[in-house]
Amino acid sequence: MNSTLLRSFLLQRFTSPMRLGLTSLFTFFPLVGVLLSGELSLLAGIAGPLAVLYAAGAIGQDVSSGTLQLLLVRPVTRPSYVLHRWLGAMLAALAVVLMTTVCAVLLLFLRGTPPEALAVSRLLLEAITAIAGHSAVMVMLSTLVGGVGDLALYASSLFVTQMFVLLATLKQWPALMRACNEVQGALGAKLSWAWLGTGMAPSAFAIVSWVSTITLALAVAITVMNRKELSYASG
Amino acid sequence: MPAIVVEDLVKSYARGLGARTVALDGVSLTIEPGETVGIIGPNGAGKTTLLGCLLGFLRPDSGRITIDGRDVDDLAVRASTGYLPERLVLDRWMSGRALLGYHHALAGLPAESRRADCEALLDRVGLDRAAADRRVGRYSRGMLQRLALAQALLGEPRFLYLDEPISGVDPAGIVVFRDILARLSESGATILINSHQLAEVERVCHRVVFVKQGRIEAMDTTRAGAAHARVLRVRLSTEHPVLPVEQLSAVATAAGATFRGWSAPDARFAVEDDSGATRLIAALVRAGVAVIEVIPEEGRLERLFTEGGTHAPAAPVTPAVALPAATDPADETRFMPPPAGGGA
Repeated sequence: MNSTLLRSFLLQRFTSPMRLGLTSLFTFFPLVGVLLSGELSLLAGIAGPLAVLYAAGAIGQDVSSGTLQLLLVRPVTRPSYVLHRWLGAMLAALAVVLMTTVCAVLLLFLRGTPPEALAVSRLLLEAITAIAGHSAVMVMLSTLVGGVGDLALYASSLFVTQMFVLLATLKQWPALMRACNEVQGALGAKLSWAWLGTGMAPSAFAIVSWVSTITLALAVAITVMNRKELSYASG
Repeated sequence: MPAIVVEDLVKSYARGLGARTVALDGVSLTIEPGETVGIIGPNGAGKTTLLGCLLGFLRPDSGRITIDGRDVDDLAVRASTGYLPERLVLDRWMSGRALLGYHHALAGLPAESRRADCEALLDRVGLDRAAADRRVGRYSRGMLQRLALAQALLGEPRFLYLDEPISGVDPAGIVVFRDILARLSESGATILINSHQLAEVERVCHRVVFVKQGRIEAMDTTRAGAAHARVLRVRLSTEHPVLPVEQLSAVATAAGATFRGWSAPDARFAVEDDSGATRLIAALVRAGVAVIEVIPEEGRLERLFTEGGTHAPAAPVTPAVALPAATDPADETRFMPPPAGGGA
């Protein structure tokens, strides 16, 4: 574990005014919703977008700015760099989710409707798995395009698959619908923890699918990075 | 064991539909430990590509590079490597001091000495403490260059790669740079300098490699410091009578120099080194010649660069043809422009 790589990445992410502004937006409105409705589940949707926000440009920005050259002159391997960027993005998003959850729980206590421990645990576990999945996909996309082009790639992929979903629905094409669902599932890889505390067993298929999406995304990211030419001479 | 061995290196880039541009075409080079080598050549010659391959940024199509007998990607090699890029793309959001500390940690240097090492390096490159606390994004080009040099020097690297190291540096910075390089070289570090500042390359490098169209066209052993031959253009006052050419030639010969020609109001002399230049000027003044200005003409590397850039052989030999030292009077003319104006 290279704590220097992680620390510098986290510092960079948390000192970016744009990211901090968007983080406030992503967390403020759900918190207001929690306060008004008393429903902790309103926070369920913030983990994915936060992971995308903090992983955006994780590698692409280093490549296009050229800072990656100086980093890789040091005794840091490319696979290690990719994995630390993934870990860093996860930790950044997780820190925000944790703080937001703590705030939400405090608000619910003040409101007089404290949440169940099981609901909080489920929320956090779903957030962790969603963050891990989204970050891995974003890190993979970040190796493919420079700057924060991965964000555009992610958004356009979601948009295009949504268009195909509409087409599949209109034309009654189940195969296309299934394919689109798979792509969307991969872009937003997460695990449901609804089974927790119900006595039911978790879905082995869902776990394998989630693990394999992350593994594949990171494997692609490492492969692309290993083949990447980092000199401007390469044009 | 040589510090750096490059064997038959070929590197090409994809350009459009199936087309490829060959950037390095069978480059072979051996660099000994403690050697300071300059890489010169016209734009697009393959210098940056060669540096990129040596640093592991680029993957060669074929050929082999070993550094200290190891692969370029070996972490032990990386731990003893310093790099100053041409494009000063440092993390703009950090302060100069934080950036040095960050690279100190990345280099795996001991945390206990981090503060002291960074402060010592800031002093060494002449970056003041107040500036070191400022964000890198607010640095001037010269300050960036000093900071980048400081990070390259972290941990006293055994292999130092400098890409245009004095571009945008003020004269005081150039003096600092020369001093640092001299000390590093004395300590046994192997240094590669990619630069268009030919006079500086000639001054600090033991050897110069001339690259053109992806091949090493020539290698030249320079002698670092002031001890190298040059042609001086001595401007004489037009308000005083000028000595006949024969007399100028005789004065030069007596001072150990060679008279190369006269084109009013300039006389040209070839001298062996700095002390030869001093002797010549003193002799001219003693002989009553009204010297008002002495201008060194283009250096040997500039000549090599110009000739190499315009009269390159169609099929150059690789490895390079070693050029003889310019102090050999018989070969002096090879590096010097033809006498302008001729005598009298």
